[in-house]
Amino acid sequence: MLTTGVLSSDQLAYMGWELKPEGLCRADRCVPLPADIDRSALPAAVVADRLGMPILTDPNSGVSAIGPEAGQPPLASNVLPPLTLADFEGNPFDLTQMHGRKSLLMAWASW
Amino acid sequence: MDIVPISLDIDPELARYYTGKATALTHLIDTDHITTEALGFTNVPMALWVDEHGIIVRGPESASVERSSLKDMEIDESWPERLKSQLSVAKSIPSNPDAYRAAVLDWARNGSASKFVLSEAEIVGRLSPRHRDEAEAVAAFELGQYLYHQAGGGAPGVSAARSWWQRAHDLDPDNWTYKRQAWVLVTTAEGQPPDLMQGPNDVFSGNWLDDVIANGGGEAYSTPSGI
Repeated sequence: MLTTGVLSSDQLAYMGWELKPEGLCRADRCVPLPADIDRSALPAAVVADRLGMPILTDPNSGVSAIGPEAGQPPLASNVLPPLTLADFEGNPFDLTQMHGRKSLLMAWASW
Repeated sequence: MDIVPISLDIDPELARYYTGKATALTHLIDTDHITTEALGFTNVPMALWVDEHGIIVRGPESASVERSSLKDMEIDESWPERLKSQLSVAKSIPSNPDAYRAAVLDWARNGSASKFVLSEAEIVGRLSPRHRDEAEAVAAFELGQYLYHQAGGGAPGVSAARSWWQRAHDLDPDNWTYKRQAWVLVTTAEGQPPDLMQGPNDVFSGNWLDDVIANGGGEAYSTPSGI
C-alpha cells in the first residue's frame, strides 16, 4: 500500500487494522502504540514497525510502500478479504458484489 | 456460478484484445498486482473458489482449465537452440486441465457437498507464511508500479521502475507475476503482441527460460493443485 508518510483510517482499514484506545487492533489482537504518538496523524513508519510490515521509500518521489505482515500467510482465514478492483471501463468493482452466487476468480494475463 | 477473470496486466489495453472474446463475463483488471498481496496470486493462471457467502472454499492454486497448445507442438530440430529449450521446458510444466475443469464443474453442481471443497484449516494450511523478503518484495513491486505509471508507462516507465522491480525479483524469485510482467515490457517489440519468450535482456537480470531452469525446471514451475 502506497503512502506519503501518514496513514488514514481508511488505509488502516485496508490493511485490516483499526485504531482503538488500546492501540492498533485486528480481531482479538491489539498492538500498543508509543504513548506520545499523534493519533490523528499516524506515521506510516511507526505503524509498519509495530505491525512487522516492511516499508520502503523511493528517495526521489518520497513515496513509500508498505508490504504485508511478515510471518503470516497471504490468507489469514477463509473469508474473502475486502478488495476492490476495476473493470475495463475503469469502474470500481467490489468483489463482495459477487456474494449470493458462487464465483471462480481466475488470474490471467496477456503475457 | 460466475467466472470472474482478473487480468494482471499493467496496461489494460494489452489485455483488452483477449477480453473481447468472452464478452458475457465480468472482466476485472489488476494493474498493480494487488491480488498478489490480498489473495496470494503469484503466477497465472491461478484461481480462487468463493462460495455464495463470500467464503473461500479453494485456492489460491494453479488453475489450468485448457490444454496449452504448446503441449502438442512438435519441436523442429532446425529451430534455434533457445527456442527448442524453451518449448521443451514449457511442455514439461505439469497441468491437468481436464481434471481441474471437472472439479470446478463438480463444485458448481454440488456446492459445499463437492469433494473438492476445502476447510478453512486446509486452505490456510496450504499457504506458507510470508518470509520477510517476500513481504518486502510486495512493497518494492508496488513502488515500481507507482513510478511506472507516474512516468507515463512505456520505456520511461520501465526506466523509472526498474530498480524497484529488480529488487522485487531478487527478494521473491518464486513470484512469476512480478518477473513476467516486467520482462514482457522490455522484450516485446513495439506494436507486436506480448512476447511470451521473455528472453535475456539488458534491463532485468532474469528471463523466463533461465529462471524456470534455475527453479528446478518446468516440473517445479507450477504447483500441482492436488486435483
